[in-house]
This record gives sequence, structure tokens and C-alpha cells, in this order.
Amino acid sequence: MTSYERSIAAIEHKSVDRFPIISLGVDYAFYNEFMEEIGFTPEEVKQYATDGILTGPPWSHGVNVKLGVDIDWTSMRARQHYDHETHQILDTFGGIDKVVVNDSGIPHLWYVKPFLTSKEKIKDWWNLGRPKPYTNAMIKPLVKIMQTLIDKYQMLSMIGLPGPWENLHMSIGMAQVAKFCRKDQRFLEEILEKNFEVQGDGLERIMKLGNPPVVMCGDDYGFNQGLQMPIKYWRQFIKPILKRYVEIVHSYGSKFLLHSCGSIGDIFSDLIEIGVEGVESLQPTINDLVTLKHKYGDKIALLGTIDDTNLLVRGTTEHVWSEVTNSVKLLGKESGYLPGATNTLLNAKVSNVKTMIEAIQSMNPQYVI
Amino acid sequence: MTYLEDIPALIYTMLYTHNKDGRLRKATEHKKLSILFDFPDFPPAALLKIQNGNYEVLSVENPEGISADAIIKGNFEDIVELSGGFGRGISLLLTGKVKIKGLLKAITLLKILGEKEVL
Repeated sequence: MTSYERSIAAIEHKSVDRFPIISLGVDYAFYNEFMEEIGFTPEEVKQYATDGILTGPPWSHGVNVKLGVDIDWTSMRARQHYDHETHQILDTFGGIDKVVVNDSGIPHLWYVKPFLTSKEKIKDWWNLGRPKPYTNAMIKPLVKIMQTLIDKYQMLSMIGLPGPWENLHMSIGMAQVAKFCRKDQRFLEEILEKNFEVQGDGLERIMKLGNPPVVMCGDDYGFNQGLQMPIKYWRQFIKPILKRYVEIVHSYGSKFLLHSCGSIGDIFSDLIEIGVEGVESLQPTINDLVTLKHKYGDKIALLGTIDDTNLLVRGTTEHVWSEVTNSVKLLGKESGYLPGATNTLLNAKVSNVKTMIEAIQSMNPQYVI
Repeated sequence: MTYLEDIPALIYTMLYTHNKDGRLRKATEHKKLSILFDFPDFPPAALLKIQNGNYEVLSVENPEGISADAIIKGNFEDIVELSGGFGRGISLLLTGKVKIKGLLKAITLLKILGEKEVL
């Protein structure tokens, strides 16, 4: 099987020759270590640059190809703006972005905090004509990369864009979300609708321009102890919008996966109900993965599940091998399992990531019981 | 290395992977190039220096009087609005929204970066 065939088969809960490995991407710190320890040959640089896949973090397709993973991802960034009064770069929904280079010379691009910290600021933002839509010129290069990875490298490369929850709380802040949930639900729905006009249109454009076989959208609903918002509000405000994302993707005959950090077992039945075909991240230290596999494993694919916060950062080779093979034994039964690090690789050891990949590749699905 | 943020950090980051994977060295092995990025609405300015395949970026609080092979000056807000994001449209530096002194040298930078990789 090719990586592409293997990945699609696993998402569809069909037999695979080995478990497909997913990589979300890499941060600059990991990229730096990768280049020091593995790097590219001059021939690879020439080939990958010609093919347009030598992209920088976090969607470093060249790194993923070299590491030998089967699936990777690009999550589209919305338009950015510059606020000349506060000297800040903002995303189109109103989140503040920042780029710094630390003393060791490694860049970091991060979301910082919400910019729209009052109802008035939110309305002023709208009066400026924001959020602004994605354009075809923004999407076409990403679609081309995805198609190159699928056609030439036979990987499953996924595209997506952020979900409704992240756009909401990163732009207006958790405190206002909580306030509007209780006291101004109509306004909260108005914000979500305005954001969806942009995201829904962006998703439609992605589907029309590239018709990706699998779309994965990122929307972190959980934290270590559970959901970031009460489940009743998630069901009332977020679930219906997420369902519209899924419907757009399904209307083009493609599959929809969700990347969501944190402890999210409480909403698995909801995700299945709205047609999500797989869930990625599934940090093993905060999710009861065996129970989730037992209850839902035949209805939804499990992706990720290998701890990137501690195991891949501090684990010994032996520990990584043991944990990874145990995870595959526990979760790989009857397919529907695509293991990999639970998030974008930040400060993981390159050697541990290599060990993780080799351990997954060593497991024969026929003997996983 | 000195801590950088904002425009100097953006310029540094744009060239980071090209430096690490050897494309910068290959393109500038026997070249010397300096470019000042001066966006008065988003200080500080950034001075990019490339020499024999290596690069550095300096944060410049007062860009007046700084000499460089090329000087790119304009309104940062315009550039971001036109391109949808700073890293997305370095070629927009060559539109009428910004003034460029030393155009050929500035084009050298674009050739190094290559549109495919500037996402």
C-alpha cells in the first residue's frame, strides 16, 4: 500500500499493511534540531524546492517526507491586519499574533491574546469590514502543494482551517465568551455567524479549488481536566457551526477530521452524530483512550495518541518504544487507528520521534489483539 | 544572536529555513548584500546583511542615515492589507505602495526567497 492508500483505508476502518503515521507539523525549535541531526541532502533540497514542498514551519512538508510519515497537514491562516495604534499584527478575527527570535536564534510565531476586548471593539472591527475572506490566491499555492504530496509523494496531505471555537475565544477572550453565553446569547451567535461567513466561504473555496480527499480542521475544545467551556454551551453554540463545516466537506464527497487538544471524551458521541470521521491529538495522559476505543472505535478513527508533551521530550529510547508499541496494541485493533505525536512537534527529541516512527512501523496490524 | 521582535524578527524568520537548508549559501556564496526595511508606522526598522552565504538581521531604532544596497520604505499597514499577511506577499514590496532604492538588489532577495516558499 502507498502511504495515501494506507491512510485512507485506516480512516475507513479497513485493513492496512501497517499503521499509517500522522505528523501535524513542526515548530522552529524542532526544525532546528532536525536540521542539526538529520537535515536534507543537496539533492533533496533541490528536488523538494522544485516541487514546492520545502516549506517552513509549522507546515514543513519536506521534514515530514524525510521522516517518512504517511499523513501531514496544512491549516490555513486567515488574512492578517496591522493595527498602527497599538503596533500589533492581528488575524482577521481579532487575535493578536507575535513573532520573536530568541537569543539562540530560533524564531517563534505565536498567538498572544485577544484584541477585541469589549463589545464596542467587536462592532468597530465589523465596521472596518472584518473579518475578511480568504482569496483564491491564498488557497491555490497550498492546494498545489497538497496535490504534489498526494500525486508525487503518495502521501495523504490534508488541508484545513481553524474551527469556530478558536476563532471566537482567541479574538474576544474567554471572559467575554463566558459573559455572552450567559447574558447576551444573540450577540454571541452574531459573532459566530460573522466568523463562519468567512470560514465557510474559505472551506468552500478549498473544496472547489483542490477537492482535498480529507480535510482536518483544528479547534481545541479541551484542556487537561475537560472541556474549555461547559458542554451545554458547546452543544448550543459550537456544535451547530462545526456541523456546517462537516456538511460542506461531505457535500464534496470528502472526509472530515478534527484536531482538538485536551480532554474531549465527553463530546465523542456528538462528533460521531455530526459526521466527524476521525479525531486527532488524544493526549493519552488526559484521555481514557481504551474506553474511547471500546465505545466509539468502530465509528470514528483515532489519530495521534502518542504523548508529545513528556514522552517524546524526556523519554528514553526504550521508554518511547515501549509506550508506542503498547499504544498500538491497545488502540490498533480493527483498524481506525493512525498514530503519531499528539501535536505539532515543539521541543521533542528528534531521536525519540524517529524511535516512535520505527516502533509504529514495526507493528504488524494482523497481530495486534 | 540578539533577541529580535516585530519587523526584524519577521525578516530574520523569512530567511531562516533558506539558511538552514543551504539555499541561502548557494545563492549568495560570493555575494554581499544589505537591505534596510523601514516601515515608519511599525518601528523599529530592520537591516538585513547577507555576506558569503551567511545572514544577520539588526534591529534599527533610528534608520535615518543608515546606508544599504537597497532601502525598502513604506507603510506596513498597506503591505499587510494588500497581501493578506506579511509573509504571504513579499513581491508586494515591488508594488507602488512602497518606495525602493536599489531595485536590482531588492530583486536579488526575491530570487533567493522564491515565491513558492514564501507562504
